[in-house]
This record gives sequence, C-alpha cells and structure tokens, in this order.
Amino acid sequence: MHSHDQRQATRALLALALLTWANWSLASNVMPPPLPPGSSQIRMDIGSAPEERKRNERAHHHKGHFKKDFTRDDTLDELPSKPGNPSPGNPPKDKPNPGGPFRGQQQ
Amino acid sequence: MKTLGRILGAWLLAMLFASPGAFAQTGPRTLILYDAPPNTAYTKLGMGYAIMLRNLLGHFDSKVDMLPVQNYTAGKLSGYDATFYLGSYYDNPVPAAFMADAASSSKTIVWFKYNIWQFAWDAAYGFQSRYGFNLTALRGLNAAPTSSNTTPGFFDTITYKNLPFVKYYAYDSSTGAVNADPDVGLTAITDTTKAQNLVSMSNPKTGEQAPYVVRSGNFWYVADLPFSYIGPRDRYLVLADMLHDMLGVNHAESHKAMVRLEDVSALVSVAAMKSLTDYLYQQRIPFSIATIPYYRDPLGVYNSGVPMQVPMSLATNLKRALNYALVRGGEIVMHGYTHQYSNMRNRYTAVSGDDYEFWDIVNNKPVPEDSTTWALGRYRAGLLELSLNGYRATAWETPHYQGSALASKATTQVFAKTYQRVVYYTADKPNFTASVEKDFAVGQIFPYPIQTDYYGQKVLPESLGNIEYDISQIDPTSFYNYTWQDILTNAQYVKTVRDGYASFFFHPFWLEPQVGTPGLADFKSLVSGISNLGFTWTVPSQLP
Repeated sequence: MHSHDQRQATRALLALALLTWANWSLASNVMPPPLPPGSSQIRMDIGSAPEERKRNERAHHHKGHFKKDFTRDDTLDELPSKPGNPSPGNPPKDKPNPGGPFRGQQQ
Repeated sequence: MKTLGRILGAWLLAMLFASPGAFAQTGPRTLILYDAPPNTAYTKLGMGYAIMLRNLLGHFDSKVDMLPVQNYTAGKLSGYDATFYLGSYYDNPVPAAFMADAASSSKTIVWFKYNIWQFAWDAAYGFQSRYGFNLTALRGLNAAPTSSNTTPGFFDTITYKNLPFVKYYAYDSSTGAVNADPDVGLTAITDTTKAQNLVSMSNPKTGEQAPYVVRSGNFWYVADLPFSYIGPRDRYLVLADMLHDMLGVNHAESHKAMVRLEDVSALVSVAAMKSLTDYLYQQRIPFSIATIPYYRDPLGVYNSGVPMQVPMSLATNLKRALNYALVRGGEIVMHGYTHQYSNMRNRYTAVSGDDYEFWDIVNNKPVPEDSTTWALGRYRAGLLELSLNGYRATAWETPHYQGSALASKATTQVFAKTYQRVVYYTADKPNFTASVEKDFAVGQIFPYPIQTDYYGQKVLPESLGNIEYDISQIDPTSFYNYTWQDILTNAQYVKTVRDGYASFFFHPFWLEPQVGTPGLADFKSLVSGISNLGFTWTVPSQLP
C-alpha cells in the first residue's frame, strides 16, 4: 500500500513537471500585436467566395422545356442554308488537318 | 532461352530492390503545420486551410504530411524539403521546438500570416539579424466599418505580374458583419542583402505599400493566408504560381485552355450542339461534353406533373448531338449519373441538370445512403448507360461540383481523371453545427492540374467559370450576368500562373431561341479571345 502511494505521488509529480514543461515550451515570450479595428465584425470563411459558390450550382431549364419532345431533332426547324455557304461542320480548307484524330469518339 | 533467363533474372532483381514507394509521388516531401487550438469553434478551420494547400502541392506531385502545429516535435522539419506553417488563429501558441528548428534549418520554411511575432519578436531566435526583415504590426481594416463608412479599406490589393489582385470584401448593412479576411502581417526589410520583397500589397485608402511575400534565403513570409474568399482573380493565384519558386520546381511557362459544353442531357437542343460543334471544329478546337447519361424528372416538374425518365437508349436527341460532336473533336465527360437525387427537390426541381446528386444541399449534409458502395453504384450505372450506347467517358465531373467526401474518394476507383472544382470537408461525415470543433466545407478552384488531391483524385482544372445571362423573366433562377468579357479577364489573371489553364464551361442552353440571348456570338468571342491570349486548346484525353 505504501509503495502504491509512493508510485501515485511520483506519477503526479511527473505529470506536473511535464505539464509545466509543456506550458513553458508552448508559451510565447512576447506580447502579440493588438487586433486591428473592426475585428469583431469580421466573418471568417474559407475557400470559394459566396459568388463563386452560387455560380457552381446554376441550373438551366426554362419554360421551353415543358413537355419537350426529346426525340424531335430541332435542326429540322432551321432554315436551309443558302446556296454557296460553306457546309457546316467542315473545317476551312486553308488550314491543315488537325494534328491527329480527335479523341473520345464513339466506340 | 539464355536471354530469357537473363531478362527474368534482371526483372526479379529489379523487383527485389524496388522500394515500396517506387510508384508513389516523386515530387518534394512537404510538411504542413496548421493551427488547431482545442475546444474552440475554429479548431478545424486550420485543417481546412491545410487541405487547400495540400491540394495545390498535389500539382507538384508532392508527398504531403499535415500536422497540427502543437504536435510538432523537435527535428521533424529536417525530414522534409519544405515546411509550411499556416498561421490562421491569432496568437495560437507556436511550439518553441518548431521555431528553434526553423531558426537553424537550411530547409525551406514558409510562414503564413499570424503568429510570426512569436518568432520575430523573441530575441532568442535572432530573427531580424538572421533574416534581414522584421514584423512591424498586424494590420486589418483601417477602421471599424459603420453604416456611414461601410468600406474603411485595408491592404486589399496585391500587385503581381502587373495585375492588381483585389481581396474580397462585402459589408452586410443589416448586421454590420463583414465578409472579408483583411488581416495581414506588416513587415519592413532592414537588410536588403538578406531579404527581398518579391510581391507588394497596397492599401488604396491610406496610400501605403508593404511587402506581401518576403524571402530571406530559405525563409519565406506571406503576409496573408490566401485561402479565404477565393475566386478566379484572387490573390490565391499569386500563391499558386509562387509555390513553384518556394518548392524550387520551376515548371516551364505553358498555357493550355479547355472548353466544356455543360449539362448535356436528353433534353438537349441538337441545333445548339451542332452550332457549337461546327464552330469549334472549324477552329480545330477539341472540347468536352459534360453528359448526363440518365434523365429523370420524378415529380414531373417539366412534364405536367407526370413523372418522366429517359434512359440513354431512348434519348434520341442526346445521341444525335453526341454522335455529331464526337467525330468533330468532342469527347464525353460524365457529369453525374442523373444529376439529381432521388425524388426530392435537392434544391430546385428534382430534375436532371438542376439538382445535386451526391450531396443533400437542403440539409447541408451527405445523403442518407452516402457510402463508397452507393457512390460507386451510381458511377458504374452511368458508365454502363454510356457503354451500352457505344460511348465512353474520359473524365468525371461531380454535379454542381459538390459531393460527399466518400463520393469524391470513390471516384478514384472508377475514373482516372476528374475535371472540376471540388468541395472538401474537415471530416468524412462533417458536423457543421457543433458548438466546438465544428467542421468546415472548403470549395476550391484550381488553376492547373492536381496530380493527387486530398481525396486521391486527379483533378483537371475549371478555372474561369461560365457565361451567364439575366433571364429571370423566363427562368427566375437566372438572375445575373457574367459576361464573356468577365471570363476573358479571368483568363488574363490565370495566365499569371506560369502553367495556368484557361478552362471554362458553357451551356448550349444559351443558344436556344426561346432564351433570346447572344449565346453563340459571345461563345465565339470568348474562344477567340482566349486563343488570342496565347492559350492552346486541349481536352482531358490529351492530358497525362
């Protein structure tokens, strides 16, 4: 029993010494500069600004999408192109071919 | 046979002596020390900043360790090529062991913002004589804002490569609160043979100028912690570029651009997609198509109250548009499985393209089913939907750029690349409302590819945003303008990053006649403007 008490006391002293040392090693030896005016009004945040967050969740539907026929090709609504106009989707002839086939094509 | 034996022997030897980390990151080893004062509302804020820096270091293929500063033990920094201390919590005690090591080390040390006084003003470290500069004050707002003086000013302008980077500021007149991060450490250089001011900041209201980034040999001081209120023209880009110098990894000046056609689903206009495809093809510009494989409108919001769903096999117009684009330089990025969640309005309509899929935005928490298995199931279902119709995706993009931590981590099992902005959390199951040690969500934009981010993803950047028009008369949620000129200005800013990408997205929606916006003309102006800035166009499949 006596030996148990001694061990307890030694542990307590050791813990106290460790705490004191930890406190000393973390304690700053200098006074910090004062906080600037208005600091209490500052709302800290992190990452993207509020405007960027709003932009990230933009959705795009409109009343034209009501009951939309998703099988009807709306290019058929367009006027036929005038004679002499270059065919859409063809690269201009004055430029060389693309540097290699484009990727991600339909398998 | 002898030769085969030799080859086999050499291979066995190589395998025997290969280190376990042979296939791990090859960049610099870095340590991030952050403030984590126990039992405060902001205990985990420092970790959020650390995650952001850790992600940027992923650009350099760095092996990064993150540690609360109070856990630093003597000698630790000697095991790293560079150590970053993020001073985010005013007067948080910095361990003497760290400062003693910093004062005697030849390794790169980068100190941000607060608490530098504990190092610089303690005579024990001989800061000024060693580094040739000193801290003179902590500065923030020039005065407390009031309703009659809502913008008292601060050191809000950082000039870098001849462009002004202005820090975010917003005053809430109803509460008097200020959304801003104005505090900076004010330093003065006392010995120009030792210290150089590399970047300056100015306080327009007072006319003052001061160093923003100071370097003295292996020691760097950044007056600010540039991870708050970030945007495409924010001083965050200055750090993104200077990290090359801090780490001594000088990537060559190189500027790539990327364009992505967004939210392309069953309801897409074939005419709009053809117009955009034709223009890009004529310009020889490869592009991505953020494709939603499976369309759902479970509440019938756009179908007179009758639930509707369109698998890809029935999505005739979607396939017409894709087939036309894919042979003209387009490639598919999978943008969700359904880009909506269950049958709930999450936040808008429960319709594909409108809502969040991998995050409960209404309650700001992961959805009830959230798990790696659940997320993987949706990714695989989307990929199957694509492959059954003859398509493949070259990258992943999370709907509205926000998924749970588990969902983001799960992408790595299915997709080699993601192409997006990302939201990170200080815990996998975050608690944002705890009174102490609450969690934080961190939205991050990238100016360049990240080889591996905090969740293990390879992230290709979307750095500029997208064109928006105020069409609130026909779509109440579209209530602001973000012009092609705005995006082009963003591109000028990202070009200050030596290997910065000009990467934006565009909704084909804007070409639909009912909307009545000059979508195609503006799209062309933006693309040619970016080309004229000297960017060269690429797509995920062409990037390593």
